[in-house]
Amino acid sequence: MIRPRVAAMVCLALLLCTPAWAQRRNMTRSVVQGDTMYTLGSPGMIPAIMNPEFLPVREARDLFADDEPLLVVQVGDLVRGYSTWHLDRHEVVNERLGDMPLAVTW
Amino acid sequence: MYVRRLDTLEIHLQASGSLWRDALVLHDPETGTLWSQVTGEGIRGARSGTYLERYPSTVTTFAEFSRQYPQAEVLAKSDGSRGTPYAEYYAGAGTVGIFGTLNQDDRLAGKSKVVGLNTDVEAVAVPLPADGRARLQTVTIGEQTLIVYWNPASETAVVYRHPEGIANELSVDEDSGRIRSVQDGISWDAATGARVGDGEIGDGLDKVPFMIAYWFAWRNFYPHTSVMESR
Repeated sequence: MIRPRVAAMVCLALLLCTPAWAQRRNMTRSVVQGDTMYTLGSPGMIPAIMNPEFLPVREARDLFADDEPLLVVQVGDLVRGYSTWHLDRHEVVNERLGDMPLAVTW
Repeated sequence: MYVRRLDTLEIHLQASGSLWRDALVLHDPETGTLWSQVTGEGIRGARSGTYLERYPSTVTTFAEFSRQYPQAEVLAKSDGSRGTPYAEYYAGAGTVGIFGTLNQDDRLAGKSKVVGLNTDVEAVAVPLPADGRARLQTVTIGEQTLIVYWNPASETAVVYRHPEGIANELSVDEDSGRIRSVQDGISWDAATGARVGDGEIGDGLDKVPFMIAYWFAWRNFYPHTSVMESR
């Protein structure tokens, strides 16, 4: 099932594994354009993928469920797919397709 | 999906550890700027007020992807992940945000899904119909005409620019998975945009960036968004 990620809850994992007292101590609030920004961690705490590795799709069948959602990107004749389930663990893949530097995120 | 380049400077993006308007904020170590993942706007730091350049992407399932692009590559998994850490959040119809966010706009139900389109002219939300039928919807934004293809059977969503010089009336054939211009006698593969038939001569359809979003979240970023009526 394809699911929206606009409301991606990066903190959900943090909330689940961090005791309540620590959350209160660690969470800071600030205001950006009139709306609250909640800061629960620091950059890199959820590691982005910096040097992605790829498999030909025909060799990947055992690693993926048929209904697993993929984000698909094409640059010229180059096409790559990224499992959104896998992206949920890293949030961003820093990637290069041909000579196009891309940040894969959704 | 963004181009990670600011003029000539190549940057890297990662989760910043912050959330804003119920969505991720990204950070680049090269300039130290915080970027909204939804809009691509720099919201704090050296490049505040500028925007990352969007790049089009589409969504589909692994099985469909294998069929559409047998020569393609997939990102290798380091952890064999099957399923998402956000499963509980996705499943909870009653929870629209993390910090008690309310749906502030009852044009649609808070957690209904939309294809969100943002152009220089305006933002448009196209509701995804829940009746299980493939749809092709035409959206006119300023001078631009876009076509939104959604096929719930294969869970495929793509947005194309309406091709120049082609009659406005396009239709989708669910059995063949093709978009057709009956008047011009031309067909395209609905999922990939590739020209099909007639020796496959001619240009494919140009893809346009979009986002599948929950209504409440889309509206929080684009309060003046228009909503396309479902047909």
